[in-house]
Amino acid sequence: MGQEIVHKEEWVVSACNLDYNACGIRVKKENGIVVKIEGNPESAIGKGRLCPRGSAGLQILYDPNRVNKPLIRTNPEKGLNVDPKWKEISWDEAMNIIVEKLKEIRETDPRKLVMQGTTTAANTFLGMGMAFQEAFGTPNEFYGGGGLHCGNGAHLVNGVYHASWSLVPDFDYCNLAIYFGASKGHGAGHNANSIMLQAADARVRGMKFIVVDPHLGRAGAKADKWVPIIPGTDSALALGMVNLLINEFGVYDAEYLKLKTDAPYLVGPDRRYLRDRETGKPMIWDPVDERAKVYDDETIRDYALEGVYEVDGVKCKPVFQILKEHVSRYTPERVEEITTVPKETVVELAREFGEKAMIGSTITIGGKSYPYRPVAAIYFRGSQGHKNSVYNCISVELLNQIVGSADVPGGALGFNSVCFGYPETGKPRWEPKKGKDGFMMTGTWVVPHHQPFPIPEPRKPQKMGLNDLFPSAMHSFVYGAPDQEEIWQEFRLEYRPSVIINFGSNAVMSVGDPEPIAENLKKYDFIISFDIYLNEFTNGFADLVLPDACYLERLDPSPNYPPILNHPGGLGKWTYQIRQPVVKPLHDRRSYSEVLLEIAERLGLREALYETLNIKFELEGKYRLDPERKYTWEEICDLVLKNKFGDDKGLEWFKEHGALTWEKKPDEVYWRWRIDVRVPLYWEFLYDLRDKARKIVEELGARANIDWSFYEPLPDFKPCPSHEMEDEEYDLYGFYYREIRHTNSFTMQIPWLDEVSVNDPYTYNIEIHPETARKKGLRDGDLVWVENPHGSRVKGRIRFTEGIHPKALGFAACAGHWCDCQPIAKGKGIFFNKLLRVDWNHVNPVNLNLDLCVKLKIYRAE
Amino acid sequence: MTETARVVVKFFGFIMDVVKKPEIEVEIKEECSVMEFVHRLADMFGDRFRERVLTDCGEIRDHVRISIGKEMVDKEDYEKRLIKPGMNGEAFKLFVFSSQMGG
Repeated sequence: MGQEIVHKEEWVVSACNLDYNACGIRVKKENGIVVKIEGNPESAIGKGRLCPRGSAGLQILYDPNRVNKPLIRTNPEKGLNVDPKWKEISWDEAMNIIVEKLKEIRETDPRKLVMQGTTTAANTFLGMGMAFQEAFGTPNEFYGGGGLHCGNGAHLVNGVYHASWSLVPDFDYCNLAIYFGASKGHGAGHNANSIMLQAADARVRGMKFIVVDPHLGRAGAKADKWVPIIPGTDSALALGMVNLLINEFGVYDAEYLKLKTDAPYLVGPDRRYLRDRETGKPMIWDPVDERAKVYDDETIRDYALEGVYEVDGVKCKPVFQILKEHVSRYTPERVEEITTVPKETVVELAREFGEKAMIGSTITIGGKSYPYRPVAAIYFRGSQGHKNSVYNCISVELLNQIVGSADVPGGALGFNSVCFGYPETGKPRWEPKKGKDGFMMTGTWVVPHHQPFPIPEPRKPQKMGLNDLFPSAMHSFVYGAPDQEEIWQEFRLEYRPSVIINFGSNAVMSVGDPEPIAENLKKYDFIISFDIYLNEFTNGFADLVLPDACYLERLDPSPNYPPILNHPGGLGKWTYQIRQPVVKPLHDRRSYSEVLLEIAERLGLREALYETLNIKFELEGKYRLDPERKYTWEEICDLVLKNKFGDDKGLEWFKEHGALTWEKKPDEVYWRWRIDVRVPLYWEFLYDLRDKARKIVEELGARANIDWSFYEPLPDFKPCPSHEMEDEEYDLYGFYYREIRHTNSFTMQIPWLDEVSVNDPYTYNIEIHPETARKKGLRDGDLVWVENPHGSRVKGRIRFTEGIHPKALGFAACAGHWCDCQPIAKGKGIFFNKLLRVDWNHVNPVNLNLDLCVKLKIYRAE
Repeated sequence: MTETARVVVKFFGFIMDVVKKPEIEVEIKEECSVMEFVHRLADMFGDRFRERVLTDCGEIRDHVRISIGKEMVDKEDYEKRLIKPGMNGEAFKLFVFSSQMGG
């Protein structure tokens, strides 16, 4: 008789992490082996759907190329193609080395530590990673290219206007959505799976959808209309539409502008708000009483939006009047000249946006009446990934503000700006509140101790990225700058970073030209890297690699919190879910959070870490961590959950049920008129930032060529380096686009994703318009070089498509690995980032946003 | 109140390079507000501390958090909440988070 085969089938509920959406998943195990991953229909995050990455995730768990033991570098030489000569060591040996290195800099200068993370696992890094950073006492963190390329501009502007990380149309009620360089609901992006369903339902319902983008991507392919545009010129088109709306068509929501924005604030000849001498508050003109009053004076009977007024002998105009005059320069003819969008199209877009806004209409939802503005202008990485990032985003946002469609039914929604909390505990809870000059402050942000507005005062740089001098910058280019040392010297940085703790970021590939990055990385004394795969960063520069547990092996108590990051917007449900180990970590892999907890303990940082976690997770009362005792990571997660949801919903409850779901209320989604806050059309505060930052720069004697004209309060189209390129040889705009099958640089190693990518004509090749190619004598499939004006070049095959602007070249994702340790990914696709310059001339002077567009020449490779 | 007493002050976060040690004792002779106490610390530690913790107008910066013992002090209460000698053994805890926008 043969042995009886026991068949044990088990489903575990968890959260994905193949990008930072963290969709709810159900994982099937057979006899302990993971065999399938599905979406969790009980979770509002993903709604039972899973993208190709999520489905393929189990291949990460069992990939024979994973790092399974701690590795120490034995080759002291470092470089892009250097063999590190790894040697396996034990965890105990590794921990001893780490603690010794960290103790040294903690005692001398904690600022020398850099915590480096990846946006892919942002929710893990934002938890223990950042808590460790704060406990250690370093101001330095870096999120690789996933951070630097992603949203310095869009997140800032969405924070200021919507108290949110990003923006989606209200798919339930929107009738016209115009996307400027975004793919929300059609591909990559925030909570892609949930909003794909919402977007599809909206299209069936009849929502018209227009995509403005140099590339016909997943969103454009499903749109009613694709409007190709020169990369980085979105502000010109948007300002042209605003000009038509307010100067030609007279279409604007006067009530919204008067009560929810600074449109009535008076501006004097010095271009500053006219302020009350006693209170310092901005003033408005009351046309009924014919006198100026502070903006929140209870006697105000009406607000003037237009005209010129004299107050104490000073002539001043309302912001709206100034805006009208400012945008009048953006005629359809001029817009066409800048953007190549035909002037007739500019007029058509503006007219339709204005008509469909239905200004003055209301809608009843849940028995309550709300203003109804079923149009939305949405912007994200495409429009913001330029030197003129901030202005591009503000310009598009003005469309929503002019017609009053912000956070009302049918309009452009921040997600999720308001939360009333789980009904039984009232937690988590937040909503925007009024700040200086009546302007909105966010209710929550990705870190609880900081907000996008008010922007902190510039300070003499303490951060290696100079972010404290340019405090609206989340991410900085300095990490990859070829003149990094000169920058630090000029800005008198008092120390030099010397140790990196990396968590999954392949910064050699994801930031820009790898040569200067390599030179910068060589200067670090010690680099520790938690990784699931060896890659170009680890092999080239890490001294110690720690085998990280992947998302199917680790515990995260809040993969979707705060939900401005990756929880679906609009009506529907709230879901709080955990990520739990589906299997115990295989081999010698260990979870990042658990290892950091142990390092902190060994460094004597228990109290600092626990107190930081108490603040970070807002732990109160009996759920606070007590430094007098030691907790496991599981115990901490249990407290985090019970603190929010009560004693009966701790870790064990979540392990069993996976997700806690409750209904959203309409007032949480459509909050704009309920909360007494305004938003600025006129960013007067940029003058204060400029003056303070410039003073510091001058005091330091820094010679950096900073264009302070980017600090004007009203947005303009400001040309980027690619627009100003005069050498006609470099005649094509190169950019990369996000490919739904891939996240950042690491998913090319997943065999299923590679297989579909290989079979897609474009994913691993260069997109070119056939007319452009023919003019250059190039044929479909030709092997070509593309080269930037600085002599960097990459090779690849061109594929014809009419879905790209004739003056542009499109590249998918962050591909082109050269490291042997990722054999599936090696040699696949194009390493576009090599063409990016990471220097002062290619960053936005307000928020240090990197310009991701580069002028290129193309020629056949012999 | 006239007798002199000592308050235990603990520092956390991006201030360690300035204060050098995680804990000190500060002598106070009479009650003062949290705001006044922070200014006093700024006087003790100098401009680097002041720049890290206070705005140009002398307000406590947004990325600073303060607790007394286990209780966080609301920003709105910085002027009202009093620091008292002894504080029932509770430490005054000052957290300086890295002033970043997000992630």
